[in-house]
Amino acid sequence: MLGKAEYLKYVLKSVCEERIRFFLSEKAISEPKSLEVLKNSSSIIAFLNGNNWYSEFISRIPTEYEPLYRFAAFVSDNMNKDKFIIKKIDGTALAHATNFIEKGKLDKFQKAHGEWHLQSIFIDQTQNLKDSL
Amino acid sequence: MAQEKPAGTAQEQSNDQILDKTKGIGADVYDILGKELLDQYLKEIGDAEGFLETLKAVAAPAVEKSIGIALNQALTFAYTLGDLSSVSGFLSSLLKEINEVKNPNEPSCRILSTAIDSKGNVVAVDVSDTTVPPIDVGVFDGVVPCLEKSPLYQAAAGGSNDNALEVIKSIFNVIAELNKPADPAECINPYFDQFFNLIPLQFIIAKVLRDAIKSALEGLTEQEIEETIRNVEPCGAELTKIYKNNLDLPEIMFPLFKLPALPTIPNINLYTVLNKLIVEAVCYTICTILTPLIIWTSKKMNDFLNEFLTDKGIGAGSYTEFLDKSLGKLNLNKEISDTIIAQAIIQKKVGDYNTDLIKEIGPAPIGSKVDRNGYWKAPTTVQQNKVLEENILLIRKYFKEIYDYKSEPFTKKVYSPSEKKYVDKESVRELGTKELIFLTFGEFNCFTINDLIVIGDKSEFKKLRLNEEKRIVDFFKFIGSDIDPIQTITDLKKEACPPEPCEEVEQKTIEEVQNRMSELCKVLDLRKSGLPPLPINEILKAVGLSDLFNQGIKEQFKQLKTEQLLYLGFPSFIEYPTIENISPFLPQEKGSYNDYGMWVEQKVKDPKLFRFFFLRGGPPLIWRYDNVNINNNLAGSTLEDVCGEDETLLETFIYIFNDIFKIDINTVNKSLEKSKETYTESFSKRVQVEFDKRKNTTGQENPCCKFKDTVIILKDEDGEPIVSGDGLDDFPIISNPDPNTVKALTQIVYTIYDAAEGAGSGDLATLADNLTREQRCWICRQENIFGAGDPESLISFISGEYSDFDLFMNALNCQEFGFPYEGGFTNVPPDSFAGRLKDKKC
Repeated sequence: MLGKAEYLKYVLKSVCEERIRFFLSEKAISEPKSLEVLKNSSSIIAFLNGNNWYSEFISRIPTEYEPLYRFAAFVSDNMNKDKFIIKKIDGTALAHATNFIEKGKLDKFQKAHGEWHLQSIFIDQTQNLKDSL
Repeated sequence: MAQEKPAGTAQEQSNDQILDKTKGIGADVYDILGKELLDQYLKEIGDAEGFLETLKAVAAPAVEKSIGIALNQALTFAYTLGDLSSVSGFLSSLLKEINEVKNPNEPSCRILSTAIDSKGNVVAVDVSDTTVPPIDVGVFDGVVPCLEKSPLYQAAAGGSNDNALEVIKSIFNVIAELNKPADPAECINPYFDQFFNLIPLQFIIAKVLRDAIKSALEGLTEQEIEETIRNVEPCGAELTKIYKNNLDLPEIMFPLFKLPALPTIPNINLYTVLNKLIVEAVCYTICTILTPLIIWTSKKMNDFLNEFLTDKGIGAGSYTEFLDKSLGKLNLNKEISDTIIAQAIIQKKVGDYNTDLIKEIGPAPIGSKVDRNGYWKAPTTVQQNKVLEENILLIRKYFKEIYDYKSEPFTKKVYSPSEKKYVDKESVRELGTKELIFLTFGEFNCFTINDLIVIGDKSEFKKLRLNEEKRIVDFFKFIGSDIDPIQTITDLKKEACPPEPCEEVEQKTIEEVQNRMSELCKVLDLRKSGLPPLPINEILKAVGLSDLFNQGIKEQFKQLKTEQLLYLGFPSFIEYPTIENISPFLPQEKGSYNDYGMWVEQKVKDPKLFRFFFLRGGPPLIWRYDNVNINNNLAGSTLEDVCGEDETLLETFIYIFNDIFKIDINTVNKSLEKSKETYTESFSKRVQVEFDKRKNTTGQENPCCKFKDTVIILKDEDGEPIVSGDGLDDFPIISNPDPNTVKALTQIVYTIYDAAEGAGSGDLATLADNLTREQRCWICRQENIFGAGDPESLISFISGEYSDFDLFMNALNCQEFGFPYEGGFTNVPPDSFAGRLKDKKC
């Protein structure tokens, strides 16, 4: 359906972003010293690897919802021009998911579908936080 | 911030206590909260654990719960949104609309086409002009669907769009076709099918149609026009009726469609050719006018509709039925007043008033004379009323019969999207809203009249004499004066769909729509047609879908915005100190940092951070979802991008969901449902907390006044004041002390102090949770409790000893009284409980 993919992409990605923003908001309140470190860090990834914020974020999500966030991140990252850029029929969906299961943008990552994609959103939002400092 | 769940549960309060808590809740609060929310609150307020949950929720991941719901909504939306693609029926027509916009000054009957030249530019081509050299790219444009219904065009095009320019030169075929009898029904029938499904706005269409006919045939005499359109079988009679009716409707109601000019008629000097061309012109005119009109009308009636333009002779499909069902059935007994019926009887539009009166008056005496009505004496008012009442009763019964009417079963062809073909389907006709309202305009089709004759012929209704066409039409036109058709339709329309599609749209229907979409894509064959790229955002805009998406996103994130605001401590007690300030809940932000408790309490001290990360550029909070425009994200995407795919979006989506992520939707749904319940309760309590904070600031009893002069100094067993940090020896415990006494408050202070050093997670919060408001306010005052050493309050002592201090403070909820988070009497608002105590206004 026209616009549906774009709608889904927007909503699902936003859901992840908002959840992450909430986590980062709490961090900003409870760990003002970490903010100083973040502000002076040249690399977001290095900062996150040093502070384990992402692992803590994942641990705060109830187990039953965790796959949904990864799913949302995966789906939203694989849509473009109002459609999926991966398919079931040609095996690209499975291949893409399998390929990325071995990757993580941060050092500590779980070998789970959508992990790489959820991490990407997390890093972007942390960048937003850094930009606000 | 600590988030652990406190151990243990608090004891439940009795029903009496719950009732006590309802006292003091003013009617204004009741109104503001709404009955449902307040009932929920009252039901749960006695549950101390629930209250603790509330406190926890304020500081803990409330957003997470909300997101759970939002995600659930998103998924539900994704699964069910498919029904909206029933607008696919518009697409072929949209092509025309878009092309017409591109070439607004071109007379469409010149058989204009768009093509792509060798440089890739879209150009207009008049394919009827054989002097223009053909362009070597496939030709296809928006008017083709209309033209395709013309046998003349088909002959010229040789059945293929791709070589139309070549075939149009086959003049012999054209001439041969010109000499065949006209058969315009092929292009008109599908429109009439839709035409009669768009009540009552087809009445307006009828007006436009009549004008169109008149304009198209303005060179002919009235008689010639009538003869011409009467030949348009099988809709000639109806066209004639439309044409002859002088519908005087205000012009402002009609969209301003410019009628295309008549094509230049070749001077072949054959009557049949002329007739053929005229009828073709009528057909084409009707086609090009009705298509956008139907789109326009459909948008007004409902945002989603129904069939794509079908071949001739095809009946309405399940979407038409669905659309019909979206209107409640018109019950004439509710719409027509007794007064109008009585007038219809008196004016002889129904029944036989005179005969009935003559019978009521009784037999005439021998030798008496009768007047022109047949009365031998004037009927009394009582007699007149009796006759009227009897007739009205019968007509009411007649209306009920119409309401309940179902015709004998008959077979019609409908498109079955699941089977992807037209199939015979047994159906019955009813006398629904559209038939009856159209009838009150004096318009009808044969089926409506036939069905009404069947009813009128029943022995019990023979007396009404509504068993012939003219009487039926006259009667309904008369009673139609009592019906406001637009208002009636509005009233009968079910509530508009919320962002989530109406529940009555079943999964099967959704699948049908997707199959239709798929079929339509195949028909259009966009990738091969040479059609210029159609921007998706323009299409969405044209059918109003982009607004729907935007509104959907806004709604999806609406509750999350509320959560975000509450998380920010909005509305802050400082800026919104009374109930009036937070009505409605949530009030408008004032655009100040002090709107938010988080800022007032200095939980975030960096203004840049607070502004750009927490308020997202505000104040007030910049919530991007309120003003999202999804069309911007679709810039550059074209119909070609999404049409003709071998795999639908939904198939891919479900595959990833089920087979790659292996998410058990049932488990997720159960969990989400449970979260929803908890969340609803939690949210309602948090709303109530905001009201509670403010409800006693307008003159009611101040809970802080209860222990206004109370001083508590902790002492050891010898009666000597202790120093902060000293252990306490055994101190006397009274079971169930009266909470209104200083003794009970003192015992609490001892208990909390004693527990602080060795407190497990949540223990102190649980203790605080059981305090009365009066007791909590005393602790919030932060009075010194040590008679030796440095003065220090209970709160201050706990802050240094207890890891879950935040949880304890949340349970105390000092902000309710106007105390800042940790600040004692510093900066308390003067009209708060604390402020009034400070000013000795107890």
